[in-house]
Amino acid sequence: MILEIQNLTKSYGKHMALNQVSLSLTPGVYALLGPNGAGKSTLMNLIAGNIRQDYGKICYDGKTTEALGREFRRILGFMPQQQGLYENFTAYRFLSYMASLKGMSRAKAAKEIEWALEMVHLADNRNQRLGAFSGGMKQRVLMAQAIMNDPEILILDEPTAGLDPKERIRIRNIISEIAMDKIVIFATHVVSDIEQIAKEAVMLKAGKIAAVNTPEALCDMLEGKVFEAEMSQGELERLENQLLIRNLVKRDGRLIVRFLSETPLVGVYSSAVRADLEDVYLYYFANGKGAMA
Amino acid sequence: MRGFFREIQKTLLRLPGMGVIFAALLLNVCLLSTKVPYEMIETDALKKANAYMSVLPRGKLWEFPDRYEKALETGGWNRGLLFSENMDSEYFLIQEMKRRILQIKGYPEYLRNIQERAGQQEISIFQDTSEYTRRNLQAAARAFAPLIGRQLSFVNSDTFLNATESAVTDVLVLGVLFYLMVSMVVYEKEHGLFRILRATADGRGALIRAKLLAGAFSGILLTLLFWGVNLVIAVWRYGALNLSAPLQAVYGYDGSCLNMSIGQYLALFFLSKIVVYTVLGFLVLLLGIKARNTMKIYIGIFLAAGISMTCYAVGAYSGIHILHYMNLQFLVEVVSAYRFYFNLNFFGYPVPIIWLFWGSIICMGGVLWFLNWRVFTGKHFAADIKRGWKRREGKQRRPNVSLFSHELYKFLISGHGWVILCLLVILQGWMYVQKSTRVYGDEYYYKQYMERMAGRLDQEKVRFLWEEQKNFKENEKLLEKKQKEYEKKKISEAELNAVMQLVSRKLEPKAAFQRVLSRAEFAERHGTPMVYEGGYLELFGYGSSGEQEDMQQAGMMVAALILLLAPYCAGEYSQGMMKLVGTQYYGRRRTLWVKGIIGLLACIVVCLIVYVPKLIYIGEVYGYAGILENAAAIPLLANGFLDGPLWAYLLTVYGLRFLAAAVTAALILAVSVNRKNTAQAVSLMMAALALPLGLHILGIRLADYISLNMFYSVNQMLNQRTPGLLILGICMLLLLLEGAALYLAETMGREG
Repeated sequence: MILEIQNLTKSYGKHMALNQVSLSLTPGVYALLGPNGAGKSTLMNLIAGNIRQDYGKICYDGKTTEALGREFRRILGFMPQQQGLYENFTAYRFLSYMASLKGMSRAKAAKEIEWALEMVHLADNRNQRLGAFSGGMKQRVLMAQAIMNDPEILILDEPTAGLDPKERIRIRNIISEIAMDKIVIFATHVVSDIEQIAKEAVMLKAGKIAAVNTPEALCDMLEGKVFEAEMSQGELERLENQLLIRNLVKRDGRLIVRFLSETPLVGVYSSAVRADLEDVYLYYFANGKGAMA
Repeated sequence: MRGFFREIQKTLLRLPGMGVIFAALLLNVCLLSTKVPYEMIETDALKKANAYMSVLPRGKLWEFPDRYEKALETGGWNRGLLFSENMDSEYFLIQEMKRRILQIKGYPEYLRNIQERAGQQEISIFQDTSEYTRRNLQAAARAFAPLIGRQLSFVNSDTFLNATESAVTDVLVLGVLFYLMVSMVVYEKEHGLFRILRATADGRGALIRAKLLAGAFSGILLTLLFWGVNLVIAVWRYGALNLSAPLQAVYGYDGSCLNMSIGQYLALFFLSKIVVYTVLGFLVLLLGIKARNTMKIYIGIFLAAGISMTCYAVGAYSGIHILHYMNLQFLVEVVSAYRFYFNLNFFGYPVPIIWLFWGSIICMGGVLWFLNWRVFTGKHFAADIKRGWKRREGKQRRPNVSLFSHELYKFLISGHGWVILCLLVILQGWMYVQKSTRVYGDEYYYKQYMERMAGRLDQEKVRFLWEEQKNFKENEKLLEKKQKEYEKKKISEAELNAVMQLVSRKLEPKAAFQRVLSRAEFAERHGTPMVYEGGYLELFGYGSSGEQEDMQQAGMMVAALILLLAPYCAGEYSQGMMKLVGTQYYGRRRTLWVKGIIGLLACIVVCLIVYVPKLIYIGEVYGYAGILENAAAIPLLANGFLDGPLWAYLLTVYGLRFLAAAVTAALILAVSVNRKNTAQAVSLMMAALALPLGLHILGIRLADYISLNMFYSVNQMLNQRTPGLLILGICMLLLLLEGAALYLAETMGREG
């Protein structure tokens, strides 16, 4: 099972949303990380077939998705971002409708719906109208419809957006649980989501791939570039234009600054620390002064 | 008070509430403005006649209708018709005015009779009636005693009756009231807010009091708004009303014992409506408070309405009158309590119906107020509510995986398609229920003759024509002879008038007979049968309404299709659902196919609702005799290029109309998919399709050449008798259909 994305290019008028993006994905969880407008949703919608690329192709097991047509959609599970739902459908009716779109038989749909509702912890709310659901519950319903019918490829566009920590953990656990033999691509700009579950992170910046690697490897790449220093307010004001500041904490009247820099600071004692994914995010996606990548 | 204002803000001052009130008010205005109180009398004529009669002095008022009628009959009136556009209408109007004047004239006698009948009960020879009857008659005498000596004058009864008697207004007000009262409770229950509210200091007694007061305010507002508008429309259509005239001067209100003026009665009427609506609002609120799921509220309402209507009917036709008067329908009507003096027999004692009305409504109001308070503040109040049916926990029925079923649900329920269809049925019903199924004047005689002459001409029919002609000639000769005798003073004027009356009645069918003769000549010349063409001409655009009615029907059809289909498709795009649906296995071609079937079904249903009533109406009024005969049997259709039986002609017209409807539906779907926005799709389609129809109805024909107008009417095309035009038209329609289908297949239905 391999999903290949080759030189995918998409533009909207003059704005280049995706520029020659190529990826090769095997079973596992892949996180698409990038700021707003990086091209994450565009890439997701291209894979899902909602929009057509200008150039390039998407192949699944050697065949293009266009040639596969609806057979590709049979093995696809898609959870779009911030989706509007049928407000007067109950959760059960909505999943029944999605089951009918997925071509399931009645018996299979009954099993799949029950399983999906249990997975997303909405079994008790099955007969409640979607209009009365909270944002988190709506996200879970969307997750439920995506995982029904055992898709081989799961595309989740910002599945944890707008959720509280408890809900986010729940969604992450669901992804981990079902991702055994699937290709799961989920887009996020919440780095903690990636640390817990992603096999590889794809850093997208301005429509191009900035880096593709495991979270650990991405952190290793910033070896010797992440520092922590204790400094006074005056020193901070003097140096802040030179530094890419990640974190600022006041402790006992002193400022503890965590920052990224190609070289250690002169004149200020700083110690190198192990980078984490937030540092990696900042390294690649910080705008303006201090941007390093 | 704050609680009260908050409740008002939550229901009446929010967009959905205001929207519902506005929509219902608009519908009320449209329906009342198009109401036809009398089939044969124009509204303008009524207005003129009421204004004219109201200012006539009493002496002249009594004699005017008879004098005018006689002058019209004998041809002695040469100043032009006073009120109507045609003689038939004038004649019916005069009869109506005579009835009203008779009521006014006979009123003192009517009052005297009541007193006399009561007085007779004291005389022993009349004392064979029951004790109740005796008491009843005496009660009636007492009730009408204050009215003795009252002089009635002619008043504009039409304004009064149309302002105060409208079942449609009651239904609309009750519908809006239902919505407002339910929304006062259901939203908070669905979101579990009552759990929080009832735990606060003012969350029980004060809260329910605020809701009940808000319900009362709704009753006041809706009464003043809807019935106030009714009064304004009635005055605009039928003329001003003399508010200081006695109530009994209104036609049909002579049986009322209320000693008040029209103005005072209107105040009483408004007050009664306010109280009744308020009490019914309390009932709906109680149902909402008690219900654990929304279905129970609807079931409760339907049950209450059903039981009420059943009791109303049962009570009217059986001896159990109390059922007829002690139920919701009677209370809502209001007018029934005041229009006639009536007593119910309560253990041998007469109880006036007005007392029963007010007693019932006040008791109901008190009981419902108490029950609302008791249930809401009690321990067993159901703080939550589920939408739909109550489902048994642990037993979930198997899922429905029929795509068609889900799409139909979306179309009818989520998209409120059922509302549009119901409105269409109501509008059509309203239009046709007001039409009379009788033919009048010349057409009546013509129809009788043609039914007699139906089929091929034979000896017997020719002999009948000859004899009828002979009868007419003889009557004309008789009239001529008597006129000459009168000129020579051999007979008196009275004799001449008597002969003229007799002869004019016998000569009434003459004009119709002339038409029959010319039809017989045509039939003989062309070897065709005699077919009564009245209904067919109406259907094929040659009737009195011509193409206007075709265009009105088409307008309704087009508007309904736009309102049904545009939100159905465009709404899914603007919601973003198509982004999800399009990634599913059956989310493209199959979904498009199912949507297409739904669109086609919508077309069929809308066409049936729009076109079938007219077919039924034509059948009732004119009939479809000779439908198997060739269209050439009817002169106006004889030179057309469609040579075939009348049923085939009919099928062609309606078949093409259906094709035009199907093309319209396809275009709407295509534009909806293209715009991906309901408002844009509706506006575009209304501008492109409905507006040209509206312009045609207003008499502006320019748009006919740059729109689908001709295809909607079809008669416009066929009556131009150009085969090329018809073929070109059909080709255009098919091209449009194919274009729309291809576009949809390429956008929505693309698999790869």
